[in-house]
Amino acid sequence: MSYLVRYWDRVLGLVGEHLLLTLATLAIALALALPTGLLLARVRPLRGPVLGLLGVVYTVPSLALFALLIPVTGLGSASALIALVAYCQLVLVRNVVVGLDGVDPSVIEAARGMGMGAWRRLADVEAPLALPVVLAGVRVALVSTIGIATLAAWINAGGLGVLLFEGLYQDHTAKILVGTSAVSALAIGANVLIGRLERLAWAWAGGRTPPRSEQQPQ
Amino acid sequence: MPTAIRLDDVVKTFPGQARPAVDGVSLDVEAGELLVLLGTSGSGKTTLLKTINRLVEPTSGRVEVEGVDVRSRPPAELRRGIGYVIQQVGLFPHQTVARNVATVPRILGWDRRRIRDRVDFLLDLVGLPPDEFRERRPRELSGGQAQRVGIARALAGDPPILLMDEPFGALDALTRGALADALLGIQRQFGKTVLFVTHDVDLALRIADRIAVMRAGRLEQVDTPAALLASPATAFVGSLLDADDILQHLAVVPVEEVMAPPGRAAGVHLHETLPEGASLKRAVSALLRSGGAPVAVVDAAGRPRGIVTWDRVQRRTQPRQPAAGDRARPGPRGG
Repeated sequence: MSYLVRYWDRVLGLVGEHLLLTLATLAIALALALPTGLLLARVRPLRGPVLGLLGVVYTVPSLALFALLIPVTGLGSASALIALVAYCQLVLVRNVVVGLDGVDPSVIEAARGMGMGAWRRLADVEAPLALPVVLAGVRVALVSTIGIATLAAWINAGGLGVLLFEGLYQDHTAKILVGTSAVSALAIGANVLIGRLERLAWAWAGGRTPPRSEQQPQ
Repeated sequence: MPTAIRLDDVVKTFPGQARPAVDGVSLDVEAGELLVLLGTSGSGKTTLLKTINRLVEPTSGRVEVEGVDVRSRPPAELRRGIGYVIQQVGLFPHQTVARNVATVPRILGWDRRRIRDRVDFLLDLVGLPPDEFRERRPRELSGGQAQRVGIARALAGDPPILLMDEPFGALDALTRGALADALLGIQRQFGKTVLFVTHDVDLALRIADRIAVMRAGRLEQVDTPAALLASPATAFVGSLLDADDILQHLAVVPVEEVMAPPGRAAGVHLHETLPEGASLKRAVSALLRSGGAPVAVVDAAGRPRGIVTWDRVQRRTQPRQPAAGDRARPGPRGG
């Protein structure tokens, strides 16, 4: 506690770095996952290979992936971003596909039958109805990114991991405690915030309550 | 009558299936008529319907809407001019009733005022008070109300043609009857051409100007309900329509055909009456309830228009009727 009081500005700075890294990851990951998910939702034969590949990436241990990237992109945030974005893809792409697949086929047929073009149908009908499931993916991706991003400190990408690693090397319990609490607080905060958005999106998408599998684990 | 829809030797074979779903169908639908495509499940009636708005592309053959080959028009643009109603309704659950109904006008780029007026007009037309229903969400509607919105949405761009695929299939009998009446009223009032797919024989007999009976992808027979019952072309048509059942025949004959002028017969039942345009089937149940006493046919204001007696009904059911009288189907439809 006294560590936090004395060095609050340093902790705050690391929290800022951590958040920046996480949000940048999420932005890039979504920019990749949304079109990929849309493509897989439309072109079924691509699903198996692409989701399989993302699944393989997901199983590579994070430290190993960071290590693999050092020779290519060097130490620093570039490597960290690439690894973190790669980890997010499976859950994000999968939820985009599941969300679009889950739109009631009769709603799609009505939209087509009335002469909505493909893009208008996506924007006006499919995207709003798929949103809750996509947000569920965002929540899981965000929480896991906040966790894995601590390891980014190991390749000089900053963030709260810096405190944790320092604490480990210096046998400095206060640093470990402060770092752990801060990471947990971020993760829990993100979980609650996106969970709220999800419930709003469910209400918007027709007032259904979320199906069991989409509810947040409490 | 000009032809609204012309199907010329339409064939549709789905990939991987040996037997065509639609197997060489030619059919002309006249402007302003309500034609029912009647058949059992798997007879190809829905597939045939979808070739008209290009939700299904025929393997071969030609589909014309108002004299123009549908293949010459972009599907989305074509569909904006053809109303489409399906059994599952398919309302957009995240939009209000008003916004659902406004779908096509919004695509067409109407201004807000015109859209709002049109939405209110249509909600009124389908029997949903606009002030009460405009802002509701689809989840707050009963099945019948939802399909009323579905019909309003299909009519929003004022299309001359309406395609309906089992639109009342998921509704209870009472609601189905009410919606059928609403549809007939709208179709008459605005002269819409309606192509209506169903497997419900009673509904078909009740609403159709003509019925096209489909079986295994082919047309078995196309004619007025009375003519189909009087002379089914195949055994299948006869058994599907239950043409051996005399009550079935009576269901498509309006009571006016056997009605005697009022004021002649004594002993008219005091309470049992029939509305104008009722079917002879209803006349029979009224006569059964009256214990055989003659029953008066009254207009909306309760004034007697005529009377019906057992004798007159029975004479109409004798083996041979003039076929021309069967085909003409004068007067309002039976109910």
